[in-house]
Amino acid sequence: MSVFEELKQHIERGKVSFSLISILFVLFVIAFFTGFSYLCYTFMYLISYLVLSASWYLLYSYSGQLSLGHALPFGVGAFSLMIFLSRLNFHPIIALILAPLVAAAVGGTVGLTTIRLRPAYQGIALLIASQVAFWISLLQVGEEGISLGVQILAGGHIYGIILLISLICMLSIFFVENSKIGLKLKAIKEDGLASQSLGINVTYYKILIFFASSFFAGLGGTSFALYTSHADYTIFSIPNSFLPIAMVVVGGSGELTGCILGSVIISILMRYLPIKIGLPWTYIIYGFLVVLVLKIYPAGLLGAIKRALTKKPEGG
Amino acid sequence: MEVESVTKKFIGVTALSKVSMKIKERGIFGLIGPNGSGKTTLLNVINGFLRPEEGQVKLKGKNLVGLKPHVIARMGVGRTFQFPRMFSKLSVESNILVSNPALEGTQKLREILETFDLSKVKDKLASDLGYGQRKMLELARVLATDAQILLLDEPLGGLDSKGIEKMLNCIREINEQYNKIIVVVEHNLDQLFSIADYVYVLHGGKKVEEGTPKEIRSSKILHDVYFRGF
Repeated sequence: MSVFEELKQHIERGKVSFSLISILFVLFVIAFFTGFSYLCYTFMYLISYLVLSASWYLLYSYSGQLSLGHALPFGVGAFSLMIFLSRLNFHPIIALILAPLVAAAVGGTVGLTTIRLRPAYQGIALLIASQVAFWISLLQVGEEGISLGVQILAGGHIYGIILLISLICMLSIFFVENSKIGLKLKAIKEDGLASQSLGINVTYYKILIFFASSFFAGLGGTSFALYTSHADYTIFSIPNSFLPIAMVVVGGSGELTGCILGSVIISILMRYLPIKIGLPWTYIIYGFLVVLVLKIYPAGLLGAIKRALTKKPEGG
Repeated sequence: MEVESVTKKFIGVTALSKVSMKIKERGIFGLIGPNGSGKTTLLNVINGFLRPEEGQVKLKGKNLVGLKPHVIARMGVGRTFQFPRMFSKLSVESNILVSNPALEGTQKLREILETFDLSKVKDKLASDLGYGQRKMLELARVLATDAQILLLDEPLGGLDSKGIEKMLNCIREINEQYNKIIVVVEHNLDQLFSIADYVYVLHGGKKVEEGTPKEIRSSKILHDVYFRGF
């Protein structure tokens, strides 16, 4: 089967996700050509968290593993980039490649120690690990964190790189979703014991997906640090661990489309509401939104949309 | 495959005590005994879900004890469960492809679906299937793995007479057409005797009898095990 035929098959299998990725990409490109404005900054914020939530989605929806501390690889990605650029004076491209790899190594290794735990305990263990990173970063680099004194890349270049990062991440997850590995991961999530009896090495796939998820979370962190030119201890804070979960829950955890939808909604909310009504009220509204969606639409907004579209007219 | 003097204990309770059996290169082998006699425990030991305290399980001369279940499965020992364990959010076809992704779009996949009467429901979610179809799907799934030995845990359990007949035909077909060695744990003795070539009787974690279905049917021990509690 040629690459194009395979691509066509993937697109046919997940038309909606692919369309949504394409639409987002076009929107981001349009924003770039309208000038490097506030809109671009909003999109960069959105992309960073979209990549983070997609990495969490990959871990949870494809292996049933629960991370309540995904701020750990996100923050490690951000800090690594800052350290590579400001203290070790690495070339930006080298730093951009190495930072998510460090995040994958740290996040994956921590995840490795929790692989045999039940999801709830695994989640708590990872939350604690992210809080350890919070305190270590505070003690090591202080409240001010690490900033880039001078901007190493032009705004347009940063935007382009972040756009590319998001595209790589979303397409990779899209391909995993529609691949043979994706099928095995779905089976593992549903029934690990039955999967083992069919010859699937459950531990291997769980570890693999943890490293991959940490890598993508690290990419998100790298994007975030690249656009803020800064990383401090707050990046490991609990809201950063819970935001991707809220995004996936609100959008719908069953598909990448749901994850994208949730990320767009929550990111816009978190970007604009603090300006209008302040941060405390933003968190209250965000909390209510998550609880409300969970209560009314357990399958997320995407699930609700799907249900509405497939609902047969009465009497028909 | 040979099970040699296997002993398995659960917190002091002996579930299997020095059980030995020999599975020849062809045929359908029955494993019977009342509830709690250790039948499912023995299957779990063979496929690596449980590690015995003593004894060996040998496949082509290699000891399987201590190997991971997925390794044993790849060595050619597949199994089904007492209550079908489906990947309920996947389609019927995807359930089979999990076992062997290389089958996608092949004639063999179509044959397997046909054998188990699943062609018409191949795009349905496994969760939408009836109980009998789930049992069939589980069997189809393990057949797709290319395992040479299939351990079937109560394949007839919960099926109506029509379902039982269909399942028995499928087991015979797997044995004859696909040349698989089958080990069946079953409570339905008459039905099991109609397909089995050789039967082992377990009671209280011990093997108390073995022989052809005819020999077992006429054995006094069978009566004692099921009606007198031994």
